[in-house]
Amino acid sequence: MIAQNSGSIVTLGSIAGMGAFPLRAYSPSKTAIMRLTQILAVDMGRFGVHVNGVAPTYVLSSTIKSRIDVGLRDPNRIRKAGALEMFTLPEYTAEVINFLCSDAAAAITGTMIPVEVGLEAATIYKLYAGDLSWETDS
Amino acid sequence: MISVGGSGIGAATAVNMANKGWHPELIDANESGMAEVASQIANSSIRGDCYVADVTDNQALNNLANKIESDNGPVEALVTPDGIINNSQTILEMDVKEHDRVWDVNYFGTIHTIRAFAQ
Repeated sequence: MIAQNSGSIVTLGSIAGMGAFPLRAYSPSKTAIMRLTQILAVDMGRFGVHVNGVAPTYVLSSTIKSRIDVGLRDPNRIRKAGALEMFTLPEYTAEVINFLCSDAAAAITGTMIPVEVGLEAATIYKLYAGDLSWETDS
Repeated sequence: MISVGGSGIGAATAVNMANKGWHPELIDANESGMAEVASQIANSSIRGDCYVADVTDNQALNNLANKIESDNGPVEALVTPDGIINNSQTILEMDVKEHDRVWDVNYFGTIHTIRAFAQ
């Protein structure tokens, strides 16, 4: 890429790297990738190489499905955590990666794009302990 | 483009980008997973090449990068490993080898892949 003076690198971060998350190796490894992505973006920017990342929330991959199946993850908690109250699929993150590798992202580097169904927006919001008239327990 | 992953996001990215005209080359230690992804890519009439490699092996990745570039020309896009998830034991209770393995794949695997393919 450096020899060609062009290219796109997309790293895989995670929302688990954006705050304290109780996976003691995974979470800090993803935080490190977020910072590495920024450093590489500057190191390689002058060679025309873009370096960005994506940070998904729980993706309904075979790994997570198998943990749900044996009761190690609560699918309802995952679904209710974000603003959109939905599961994400690998395909949604793939679409963002494709964008970051495309000419449409020509002016973007050093970013870590969250693909997290509004998790950050919802985290403090859903901490509210009063009554939300529109909310049900479903 | 290179996508590290015969499953999950890496696999979905290879299929997605093949559908948009990219020529994906997959790297993973999981040969059967990659073969399944390659068969999905074949439906889009674009060839998806598979290479078995361990992302924790710096030298193997360098050799692979030389081979891929010599066979197919310069790599235009690289998607690094998604990584592995450990269990949630506390720092004091956890298996140190398991901890190191997560860093080897997730962090050092990312560095090794970028060093090999971004030259």
